[in-house]
Amino acid sequence: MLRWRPAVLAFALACIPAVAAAPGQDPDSPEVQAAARAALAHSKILDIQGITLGIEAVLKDLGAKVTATEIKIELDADVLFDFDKYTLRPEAAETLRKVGQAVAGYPQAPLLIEGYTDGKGTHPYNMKLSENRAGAVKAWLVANAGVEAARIRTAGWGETKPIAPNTNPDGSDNPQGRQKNRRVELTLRTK
Amino acid sequence: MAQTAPAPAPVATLATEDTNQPGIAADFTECKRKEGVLSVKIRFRNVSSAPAAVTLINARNYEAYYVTAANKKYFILKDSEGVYLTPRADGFGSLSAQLAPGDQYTWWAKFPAPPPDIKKVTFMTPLAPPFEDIPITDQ
Repeated sequence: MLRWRPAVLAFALACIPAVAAAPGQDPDSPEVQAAARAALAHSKILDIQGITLGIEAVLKDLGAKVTATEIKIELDADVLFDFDKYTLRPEAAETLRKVGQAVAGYPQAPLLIEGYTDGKGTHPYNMKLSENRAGAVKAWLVANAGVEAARIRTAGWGETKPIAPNTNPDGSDNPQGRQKNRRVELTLRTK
Repeated sequence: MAQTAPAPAPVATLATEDTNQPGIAADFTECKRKEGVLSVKIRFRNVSSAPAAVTLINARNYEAYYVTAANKKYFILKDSEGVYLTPRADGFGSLSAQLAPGDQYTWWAKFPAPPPDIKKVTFMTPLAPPFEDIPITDQ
């Protein structure tokens, strides 16, 4: 009778595949395709930390407010646009490129772009100007940062949602307050 | 030992890289997304005038093959018994192919697919430099 030494037995066992039989070797067979679909339930996908940190640096540069559910970026309209215009200034590209990098890091997240004006001018005029400015930022991100248009919604709120007083308590003009109100806000819904 | 095929069928090549295995070149021939699964095929060719070997898997290093897209890293899918959805290694955890001059061997693997808005991926292998910006074909 053949007697197996432990070392020989271990060697023989090593030659047997350690896992159950793999599905057929034809990758296009229905069997393999079904196995792949079933395997999705426990797939292994990791975050790449370096790239995540890269986005974090970009968000920091932009002064973004990051919460568990959204990322809010507030851009000074005076940096993006000339007074009373909705054509982007050439200097806006650097800021918008960073916005594009941040948005690219969250390829599934919907993006809301909202324009705001200060309290000068008529309400209809301000509404239109803020809508157009939000639209200009959207158009830039679609054309230059590869953001899908379908992900982006825009809105213009004119002077209706100030974040600072447009006038001082004595009724005089408040240029600093008005400057804060002239802005474009981007909200990325990350969850 | 993996089976090899002598006749190189005309298959479209998405990218080609030299490998670190003497005499072997690698063609990326398929990157297909269907029902959440990304199917990848790479054709290894003996471009030398002498027989050459290519070792695809060594010590079950399946996780040395992965796809990156955006800020994610996607590994080869495994079934519920832990079997990787790629040609199976032998009992020693190796998969290699002996190729005569002009012979080729096509390796494949199934990965979880990146989201639909991702149109290109990078494929990492221990055998060659990264295959970058490989376009995904949706089916």
